[in-house]
Order: sequence, then C-alpha cells, then structure tokens
Amino acid sequence: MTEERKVHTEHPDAHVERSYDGDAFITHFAKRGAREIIIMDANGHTLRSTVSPRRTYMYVSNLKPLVTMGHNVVRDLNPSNDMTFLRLRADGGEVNITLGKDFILIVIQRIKRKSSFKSN
Amino acid sequence: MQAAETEPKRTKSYIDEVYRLLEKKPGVEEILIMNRSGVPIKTSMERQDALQHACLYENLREKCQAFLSKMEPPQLLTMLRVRTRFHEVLLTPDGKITVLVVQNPKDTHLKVEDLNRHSSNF
Repeated sequence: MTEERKVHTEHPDAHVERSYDGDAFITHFAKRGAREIIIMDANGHTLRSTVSPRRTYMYVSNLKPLVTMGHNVVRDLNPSNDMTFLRLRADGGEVNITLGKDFILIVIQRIKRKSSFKSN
Repeated sequence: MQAAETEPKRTKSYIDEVYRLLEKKPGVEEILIMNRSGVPIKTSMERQDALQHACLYENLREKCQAFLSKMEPPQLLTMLRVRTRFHEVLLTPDGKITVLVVQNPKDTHLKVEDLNRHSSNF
C-alpha cells in the first residue's frame, strides 16, 4: 500500500503524460470534480481509465458484478426493461454507472465536506 | 457494522407521514416501505409485486453496501438509484426502514427512438 502511495506522490507541476490528456470527454468530467473515470466496453474490458491499473482492477472487479446483478434485477421484474443508469450515493462520495449500448461508463466522485480533507 | 450512533426511531406515524408525502410528489408510481429484514410494511403495489421488488432490490442494495464498505474509507449507502428504460427506482435506507420508490422521471433530452434502439449486450 505504501509502495503505491510513493509512486503516486508527484509534484503538482510535474509534466506527466497520460493517455487521456487530450480527451475532451474526460476533461469535461474532471472540471466538475470527478476524479475517477473508467470507460469499459460492453464485455467489461477497460478501455480508458484515469486511475492506476491496480485500482481500476479493484473497482471493476467489484462493480461489474453489481452492474450485471442490477441488470438482472430489472429484467426479472419486467423482461422488456433494461437498466440504463446505476447510481450509488454514500455520504462521502458517489458512483455513477452508465450503461450504453456498447459501453459501460463509471464515474466516481468525492464530495468534500468542509471538515474533512481527501488526500490523493 | 452497525452505526455508532443510535438509529432514530421510526414509528408507525412516521411511516404513514412518509408515505403520504411521497404520494403527493409528481411522477411517483409506486411506493414500498420495508423494515430492516426486507419485509414490506406499507406499499401501494400488489402483494406479489411488492414481495418480488423488495426481495430483489434488497439483494442489490446489500451488494452495493458491501462494495462501499470495501472502499477507502468505508462508507454507508445513503441512496441507490436504478434508472431503467421505463422508470426509475429509488431506494433509500433510513434507519430501521428502507423506502423504495418507483417513479417515472421525465427525460427530456433522451428521444424515444434512442431508447428503443438501446439493446443490451449482457
């Protein structure tokens, strides 16, 4: 765990090239305070991600079954129905999952409280 | 596991009040209020439907709570929203009860043709 922290401690002015640097879609979300975005295709393979591969794997391995389960729940109640969004809201953050025709989009946001401080 | 502070008491009159207020809201199709073990207490649906909804969504909510507890820091689920093609289901755990609302939100930016073309690959 500490190892991972070391890798991610960067000087804010460091020019690190990331694969999503020019991506307007992701920068749009980042402006709104979303820190973590994962884009997957319909099978669940990660296409783009703004978090480290290890964390992406952790998120995806936990969220993909949730998505499948939610979809099954919706289908059980009404076979012609499809799930389009799934939104998990907790006290400190929120996870928004969008299910498109060919993709799955996961956006994880942190909600800052005045008293708490989130360090990344 | 349990919340450190004592959970507020949810009396019968509170539940009736919640139900009444929810009924007034525009777009609400159905309301279901369950107790801690997931048994429906007050509902506007048929008995069969209510049991099915309660069981399935309670399951989903437990999985979501499990996911949030694994995160750093472990958090409590305050709301779960499942949006489907035809309607939206809101699930709110609230102390000793869980309130589930099926509503029909107006999606003005999504056209009906786009929704119809949406086919699932799961």
